[in-house]
Amino acid sequence: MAQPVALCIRQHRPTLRKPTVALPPTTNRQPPTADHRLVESLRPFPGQVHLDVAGGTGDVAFRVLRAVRAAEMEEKMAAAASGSGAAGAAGGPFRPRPSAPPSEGGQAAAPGEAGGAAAGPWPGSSSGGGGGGAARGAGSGGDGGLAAGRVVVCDINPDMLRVGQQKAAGAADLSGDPGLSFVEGNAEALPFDDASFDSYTVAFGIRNVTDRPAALREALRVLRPGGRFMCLEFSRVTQPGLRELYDLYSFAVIPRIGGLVANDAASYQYLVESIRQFPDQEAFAHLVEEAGFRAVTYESLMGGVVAIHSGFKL
Amino acid sequence: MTPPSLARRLLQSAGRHATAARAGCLARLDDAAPSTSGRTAYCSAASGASGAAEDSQEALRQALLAQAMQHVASRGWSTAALVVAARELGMSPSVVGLLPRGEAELVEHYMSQCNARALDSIAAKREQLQGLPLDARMADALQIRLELITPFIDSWPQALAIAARPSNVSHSLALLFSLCDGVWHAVGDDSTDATWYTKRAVIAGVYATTSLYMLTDYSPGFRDTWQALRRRVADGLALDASLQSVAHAAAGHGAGGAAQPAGGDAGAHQAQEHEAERSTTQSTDGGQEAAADGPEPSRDGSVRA
Repeated sequence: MAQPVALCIRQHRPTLRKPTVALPPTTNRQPPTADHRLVESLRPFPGQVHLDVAGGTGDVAFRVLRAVRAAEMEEKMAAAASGSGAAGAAGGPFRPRPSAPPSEGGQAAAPGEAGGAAAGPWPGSSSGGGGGGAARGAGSGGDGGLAAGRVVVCDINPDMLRVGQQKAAGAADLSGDPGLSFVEGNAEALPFDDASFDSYTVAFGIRNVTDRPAALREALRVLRPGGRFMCLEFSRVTQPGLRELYDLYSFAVIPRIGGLVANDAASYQYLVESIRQFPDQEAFAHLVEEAGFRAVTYESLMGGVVAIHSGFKL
Repeated sequence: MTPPSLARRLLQSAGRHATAARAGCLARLDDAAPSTSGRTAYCSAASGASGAAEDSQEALRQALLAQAMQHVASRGWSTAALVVAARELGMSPSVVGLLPRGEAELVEHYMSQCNARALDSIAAKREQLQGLPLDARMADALQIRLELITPFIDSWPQALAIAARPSNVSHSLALLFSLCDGVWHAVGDDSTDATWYTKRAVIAGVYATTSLYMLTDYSPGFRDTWQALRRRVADGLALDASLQSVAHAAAGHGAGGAAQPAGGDAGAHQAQEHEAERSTTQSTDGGQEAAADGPEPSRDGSVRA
């Protein structure tokens, strides 16, 4: 079923065009949508290899890839800044303490003054700093030599994948990115090697998987030690007043809208019912833990309408 | 070929079982401010029996933080240091997600380590300190603690900025106050009245301002900072003494209006006298005056010379 129907339930995402230089997620001034929160919790890092399952249209995958690229650019800039500005023999990006001025000067002078006088050489002439900078440049060059991050989008439905590919081709920053790939596959039997991903996300997809424990075990298999599993899915509404309203809206309104807009009321009835039969936050967390994940946590968003479950392969 | 990771060895030695029924409970997350993150730890029914999994996760977190400390000099107090540490431990950097507040946890880890080390050193030096007057004892104790920052003094402004963020400030303030509490105990305070609060608040202020001063002190061996520390401790204890005397006066001994203590050395001496007088008063009156602490303390309280 096409995901856009979820507009009725999910918060509307603004269709802003992202700038070509993607900002790090924490500085993006976007409304806190569930996708945004999912990617923010993931804390993308440079060189991350990420798998997004059952998200063929690429919503989550594109966010993750942009965040990974932003993190890589930040790291490159930090390495360049600390390499070129001789930050002193002590190394690192911090301004070193100026060496102590001669004792007679130091006693009388205010700390700022003494600091100012001795800080003159800082901007780049100390040989110790140059040596340190070069060594550090080599070190961070080694880090930069780590493979660039990749995101793999896996979906059982080739049509969804095609839509995702078209969207990627249309986005300026993603169209030429070699790190984005689309693979057709079943969440219950992933076509990937063991321990090949740093992180795994599934957004609004695991509800539609027949054998959920199998999908969770597969997630564990393809993750590296320390890897993180995150699942964004509809869940049990916990706020009392909201629950009645949500039920009313779900059963009375959504199927009618589906009938009017897509001429398919039955599918939307199925959607609403499938949401209700999905286990609640604690029950799904138990499933995640049974599959072998540790440090299982969940975060309810929008009063419990959706929840993000997280677990680690430890 | 990577050597076996320290983290995996820790997990194995903690006896983690592969059976899914065992606990994956992460009780520590419960105190991670649910109001800010909204994240809930899942605790299985069997978790009450075994804390082995919890211990191994805690051990992993500590290993990650300890490893990341080695990279603070080159990468600052940042997630990048944690990411490098995770790689060195042989795990995917995604495991940094076990530390929900990232670099703030690194800063707090170092602060609590310094607190523990400082209190141990102060306890070890108890005999030397006992002969000294109160403000010298206090200044020595705080100096011991401030000296522990010196290895990271270059990056300490960044650490303080991280600790001051709204999501982290409650944790760093808690560490600051536990430090002040520990220092007062080590220095020999056993008050149980309202002065408990004023003393800790005053010393927290002294410590915080002196550590800020230290950030821009380039004198050899930070000697300007230690001199400033002594001045501030004297001022702080004088302020505390005058607050106490105001409270005491307001609580029923009437008659105010004498000039406030003249700060500096005079204040230091008066502070010591007030300490002695106050403690005897408290023991005889049983803290009744303190209980009657109502009005806002003003600076022109009566001074008992």
